[in-house]
Amino acid sequence: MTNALMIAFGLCLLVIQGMVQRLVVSEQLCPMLVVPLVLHLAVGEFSLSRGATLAFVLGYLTDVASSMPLGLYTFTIVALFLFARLAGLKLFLHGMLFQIALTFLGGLVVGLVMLGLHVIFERTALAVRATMVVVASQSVATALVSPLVFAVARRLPGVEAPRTTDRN
Amino acid sequence: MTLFQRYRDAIVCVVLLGLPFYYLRASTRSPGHLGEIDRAVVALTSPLHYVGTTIADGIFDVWDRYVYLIHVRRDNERLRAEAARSRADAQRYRDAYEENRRLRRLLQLRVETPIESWAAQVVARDTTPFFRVNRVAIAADHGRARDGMPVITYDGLVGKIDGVVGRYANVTLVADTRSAVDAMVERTGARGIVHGTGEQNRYSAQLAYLQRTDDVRVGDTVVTSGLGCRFPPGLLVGRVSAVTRQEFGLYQEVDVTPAVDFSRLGEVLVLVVPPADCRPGLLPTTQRRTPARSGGTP
Repeated sequence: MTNALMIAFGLCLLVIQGMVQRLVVSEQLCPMLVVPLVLHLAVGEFSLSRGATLAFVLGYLTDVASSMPLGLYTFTIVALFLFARLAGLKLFLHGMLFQIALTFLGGLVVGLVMLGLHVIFERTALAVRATMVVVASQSVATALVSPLVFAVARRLPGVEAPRTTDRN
Repeated sequence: MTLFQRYRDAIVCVVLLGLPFYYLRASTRSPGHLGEIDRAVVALTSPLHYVGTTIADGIFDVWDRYVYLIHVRRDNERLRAEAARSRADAQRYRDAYEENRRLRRLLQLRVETPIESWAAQVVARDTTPFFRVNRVAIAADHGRARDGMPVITYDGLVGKIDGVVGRYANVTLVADTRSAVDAMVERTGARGIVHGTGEQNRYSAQLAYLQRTDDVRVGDTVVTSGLGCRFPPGLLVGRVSAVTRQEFGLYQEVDVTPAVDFSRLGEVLVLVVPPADCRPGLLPTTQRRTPARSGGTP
């Protein structure tokens, strides 16, 4: 039930993202709404296997929704999940500013991973500076809306609160 | 704990990372370079991809249509409002055009009329079963209006001022039963008195006291005679619409349709001359031309 809810919420976020994409002036300002949700999975009480599987499904849905080469977002989102989980981020609970900072970092990770994949598979020249501007601006946009996504994800029925600092 | 359970997380992570990576590699290669494993991956995942894409496309399509419909509704409301504004603007322009046309004709009439006059605006109508009285505003020439002054338009005689109150004056129309205009048939010079019949459903008049032997035909124009010094001679009053001759009696019955459409009166000219001045030759040339312009006499 919780898994289905998370996937449904991810799907809603993708729909909203598609809508926002039409409204904003530049695509660079369009937030990647799935990123905060994956970060929420990474720092929440989900097992590694379950969280990675959910991240995989969310990445796959993002691939389908964004008409990107299949596997691009799937790989990237799973990589982000693992990065966040392995980094053992505990600052998440310390307020909105940390959520924004974490999401900005996550956005950068997503952008860099995608750049890496592009370099590996496309083997075409890329304007690195311009691409970094796009990645950074999209990360900022994502970070700014991330508290909303976190707030909704926390309130989904059956979803445990994110992990607090380990006391035992 | 089995070996799988022990390394489950690691295996899951490797598979979940490796599968999309490998699929990405396979899908970005040209089909000719696909190896056996590539083909197997594509073959295995393609149906899944197809189902996923179809479902996602369906969801996104429904959403797109919904959003699109919202835009359409908003556009509809905006366009309706614009259309209403445009219609109102068009109506204002039409009104302004009509007013401009009337004022131009009035101005032309004033220029062509060698009698001192001023323009006035009809501000109210008072139609009763017994009297047909129009009230005319005389704003430009306050205090100059006097009883008996003729009121005309480009089409012909309207009536005469009958009572002045402040800046306003009442005008008794030619079609009023109290009205009496000394007139003549322009073609033959046969004289009579035009007075209104006071019909409720239309403006009509009769040319009374016309000798039974006088030659009058339907379509003849009736103009003011100038006698009695009430109206300048030659003002167009109307056109003969019916002639009835009895077997006996002195007079014949002649129905006259007023030249002016009183229901559409807007701007008028008030002539200053009568009753103080009724010299012959003051006939406005425009008035003389009016019958010919609107059909003329046979």
